[in-house]
Amino acid sequence: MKIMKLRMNSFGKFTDKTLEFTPGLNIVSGGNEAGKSTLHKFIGAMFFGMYKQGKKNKLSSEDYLKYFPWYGENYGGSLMMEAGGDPITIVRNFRKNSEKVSIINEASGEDITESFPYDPVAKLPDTSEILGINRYVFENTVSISQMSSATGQALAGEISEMIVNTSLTFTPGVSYRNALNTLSERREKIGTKTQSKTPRGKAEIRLNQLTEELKAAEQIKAENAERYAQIKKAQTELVKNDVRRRALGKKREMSLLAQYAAKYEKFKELTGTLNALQSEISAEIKINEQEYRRYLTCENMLSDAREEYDKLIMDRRIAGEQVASLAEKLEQLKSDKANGENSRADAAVFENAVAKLAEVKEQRRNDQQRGVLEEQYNKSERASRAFMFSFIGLILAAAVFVAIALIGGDKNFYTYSLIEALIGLPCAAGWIYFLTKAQNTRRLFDAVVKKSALEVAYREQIDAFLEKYEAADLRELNEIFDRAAGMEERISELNGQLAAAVQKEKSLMESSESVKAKTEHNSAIMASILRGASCGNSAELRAEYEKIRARDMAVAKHEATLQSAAALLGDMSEQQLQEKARQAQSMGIKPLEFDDYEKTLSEEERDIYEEATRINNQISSLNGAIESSSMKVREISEIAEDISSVKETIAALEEKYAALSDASESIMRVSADIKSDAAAKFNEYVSELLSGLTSGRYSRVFVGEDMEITVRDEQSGNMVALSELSGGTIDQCYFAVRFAVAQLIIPDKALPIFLDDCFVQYDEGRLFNILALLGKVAQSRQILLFTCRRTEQQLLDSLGVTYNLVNLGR
Amino acid sequence: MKFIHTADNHLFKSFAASKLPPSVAQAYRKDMLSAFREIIAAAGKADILLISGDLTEMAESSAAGVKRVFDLIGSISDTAVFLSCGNHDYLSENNLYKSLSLPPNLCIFPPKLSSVYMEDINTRIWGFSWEKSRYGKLPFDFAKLNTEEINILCLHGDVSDNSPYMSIPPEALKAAGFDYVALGHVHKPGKIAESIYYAGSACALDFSETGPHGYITGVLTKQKGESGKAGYSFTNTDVPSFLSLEVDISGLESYDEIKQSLMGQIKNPDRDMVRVSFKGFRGEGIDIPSLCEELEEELYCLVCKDETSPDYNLEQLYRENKENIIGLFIKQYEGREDRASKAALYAGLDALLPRGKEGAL
Repeated sequence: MKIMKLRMNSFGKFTDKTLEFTPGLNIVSGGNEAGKSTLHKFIGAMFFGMYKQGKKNKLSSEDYLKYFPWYGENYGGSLMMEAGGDPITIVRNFRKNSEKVSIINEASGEDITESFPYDPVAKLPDTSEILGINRYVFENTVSISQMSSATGQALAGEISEMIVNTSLTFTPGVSYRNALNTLSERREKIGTKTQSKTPRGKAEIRLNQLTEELKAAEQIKAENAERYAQIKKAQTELVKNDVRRRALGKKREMSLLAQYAAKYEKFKELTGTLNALQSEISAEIKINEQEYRRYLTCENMLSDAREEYDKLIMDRRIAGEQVASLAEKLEQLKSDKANGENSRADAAVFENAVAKLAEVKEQRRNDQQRGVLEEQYNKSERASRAFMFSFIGLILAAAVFVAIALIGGDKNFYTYSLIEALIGLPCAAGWIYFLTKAQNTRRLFDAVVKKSALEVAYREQIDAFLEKYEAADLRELNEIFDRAAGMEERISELNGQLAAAVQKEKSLMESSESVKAKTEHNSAIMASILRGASCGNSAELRAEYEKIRARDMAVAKHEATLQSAAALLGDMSEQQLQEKARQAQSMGIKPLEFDDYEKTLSEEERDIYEEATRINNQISSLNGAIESSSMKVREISEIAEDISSVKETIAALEEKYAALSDASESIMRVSADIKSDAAAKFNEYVSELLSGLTSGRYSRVFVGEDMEITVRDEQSGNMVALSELSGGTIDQCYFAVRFAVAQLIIPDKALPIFLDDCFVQYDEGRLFNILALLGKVAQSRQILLFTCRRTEQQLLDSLGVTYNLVNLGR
Repeated sequence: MKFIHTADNHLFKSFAASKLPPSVAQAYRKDMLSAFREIIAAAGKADILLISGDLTEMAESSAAGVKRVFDLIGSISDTAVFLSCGNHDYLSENNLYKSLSLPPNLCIFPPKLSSVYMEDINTRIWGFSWEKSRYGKLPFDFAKLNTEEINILCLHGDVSDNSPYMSIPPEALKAAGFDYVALGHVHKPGKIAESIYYAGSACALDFSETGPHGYITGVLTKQKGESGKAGYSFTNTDVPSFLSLEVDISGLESYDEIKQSLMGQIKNPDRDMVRVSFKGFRGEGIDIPSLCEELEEELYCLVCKDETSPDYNLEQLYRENKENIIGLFIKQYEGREDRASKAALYAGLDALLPRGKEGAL
């Protein structure tokens, strides 16, 4: 590839600058700040753009601002080159948001932009494809700057890569490092069993889950086996229980036979009873129920009639007496009527007596008691008498004293007599007082006595009336007087009563006659019935009648017995029962009513039933447990299949992982071999270059893996570390390495080599040597030598090397 | 006397080894149980049912599953069922047969030669159950038989002179004089000698078992003093077939071509269980896992095996890149033909060749 022409529309200090180049050696001359580095950057930017590479987002490179046009808007330009035999022009606009790249085949005039790969990050066609190298390689290999030979770790890697790839045959697109990365990525995609998010890790987790599931299923299998064993045991128990049940059935059968035998015995007994009752029922009875009832009715009627008759006779006598009494009273009344006036006068006296008596009684009620008065009187009387005698005594004594005084002449006795007289005054007063009181009390007493006598008189008067009118008491007497007052009505009333009594007597007479006739009629009927029943009297008839009752009872008993017999037979016929009894007899089973035994059998039966229920419940519970636990897990075979499937996946992943690892190791091994092999060839080439540059002073160069360079000093014969050599020699040496790389990289494409003021420190001899070398190389490869001096031109001229001079000016 | 002879039912077996998709495996286990139901139905019309071992896959059976099988056996109460356990259901300590209640019509022989005489059909059934998973020699001697009776032997084992699965010496077996020998263990049904039969597995159990599978119906008659007369027939069970196929996809450039090549070999895509091994070189853009996904849509059951290689022309690649990393890498695997090395070689080339093919170089 060769750069033929370039045009910088606006780039850094350049505006509308066009430069042309030739295929061989081009000297780009210009003083400091003439724009040599800008031109160098422009060429790189035309291939790689002005953004950072290796990023996921498009970011402008630092150079974008650095070379932003000083003048003009059109940040970009064009670069025409000869590549693969065709003249191709890249037209590029660097300005953000207006970025554009076009590639034109100048021979055909065709826009071939589309045929270039698309860079999805830059969103532009990838023009680096023309160079076949990336920006890094471009800037560090084909482009050699002044004193920029110092190598870093990154460069060492790149160079190592270059050495491997450029050794012997270069293969475009092949990168052992990319291959290793790819293999590593693929391994990462598979992952390891500890990386839970990778397929391998996931498979491991699944396997562990399945292993756990299998364990659980096996555990449940064992538990269920145990449960089934328990069921089996329970079923054996059930069978035993069934044997018991059947034995019980046999016992029950025998018990039943015994009961049948007993029943049959009883049945026979009942049959006997029935026969006896039958004869009782069929016996002759001379009276029937109806006749007997009629007899009893007649008998009752007869008895009632007799009683009634007696009563009627009695009533009739009473009625007769009443008639007589009424007649007598009537006579009396009639005579009394004549004495009516007297009676009225008596009534007036009587009423007066009663009123007076009531009055006296009233007064007497208010009076003091007669006894009290009498006592009061007696007391007063005695007191008056005592005072009277005392007074008389004192007066007599006073008279005596006066007499004495008179007689005796003792005058004291006058005093004495006065004292006596003075003392006699109160006694005289007491005498008068009590005498008055006694007289008053006497009057009261006398009045009471008088009233008492009056009361007695009135009473006697009343009693005389009572006696006269034969009244028991006053009330009755009053009534008599009242009656006497209404005598007429009374007589009339009595007349009525008498008539009624007479009528009643007559009626009673008739009734008694009628009853008598009825009695006789009933007696006749009864006699007829007795005759019919050949009975002499009622007792005999009753006895005959009792036979009917006895027969009815026999019939009832017969009926009950028949029912008992039917109950005994139940659903069986007599023959069947008899057959059972016979069977029992033949088996030697005694007829027994096994009540207690039955109870025992029932208890045993219940026990058997409960046992069966218990066992069946146990079995159902176990079956339930089996069913529910079986639902918790899948079948072991299913889990085993899943495990197998996961294991297979794991095996496949591991096989793939192993293959990728194996391939990686192989590639690393091979690349290491190539490096060591290529390094020898590389060192040889560098040595040749260095020897030429140093006129044979340093003939051997050894570039180590870490790009550390040692050289062999031909004068001393020693290997010397580069750092120990002079600056010029170091530069020569690095140049040799870099130039070797530039020469060896993509030899078939023969990319231009950019030398940017590399030889500033070279003395003339060294410069001569190197330019001679460049002159040779330039025959097959384009070289762009940027320089600020004229020395290179002069030396080249002296060497007779043709070159194209591109003058940038100052 | 009529009997049914079945063996190697392997009920509840896991198909992990056959790599059957879990859903298909589950369905097939149901089919196997249906086949057993079919056998039970046939046995319901016979006097006896002989099961010559491996009735269930004991290690993978659940108690409920075995109970279900016993219930089925119990449903033909008029048929006497005899089981001689085999190496997959041998009478170990925790064998479920021991835990569960046996149906009254089922007799599981103990781990010693025993017999049961059925008077109504004048038949004596002999049997022996395994109690461990391996037997070298036959652990018993054949007893002297009463020739008045019909004598049947029900046994699980390998009729050979030297087998780890109970060698039954062929000559001794023939000389024992049984009227019928119902054998189990070999999954392919077959006749060993007159009246000595393997019933084979009731259903195919793997892609390798492609022949007929079913059960034997036999009728034996024997008059006093005469030798028995017999007639046998084989009935296939109604289950899907296993089909094992190979398809070389070298030169086949599209999915359709490959599909066509495969489907032509399958008679019942809706029922057959197919295992296919894809072999040869796969062309650009052919991805076997995606192809299998497509095929799974069209088939009842598909087990895919990818044995193809990427279509790299290794010789040419090496020749053209002898001296660079590609050639040197290929050289690393020279003479290494194992699967892992092949995989590593292709993985490396895949990474080294960005566009994937030598043609791009």
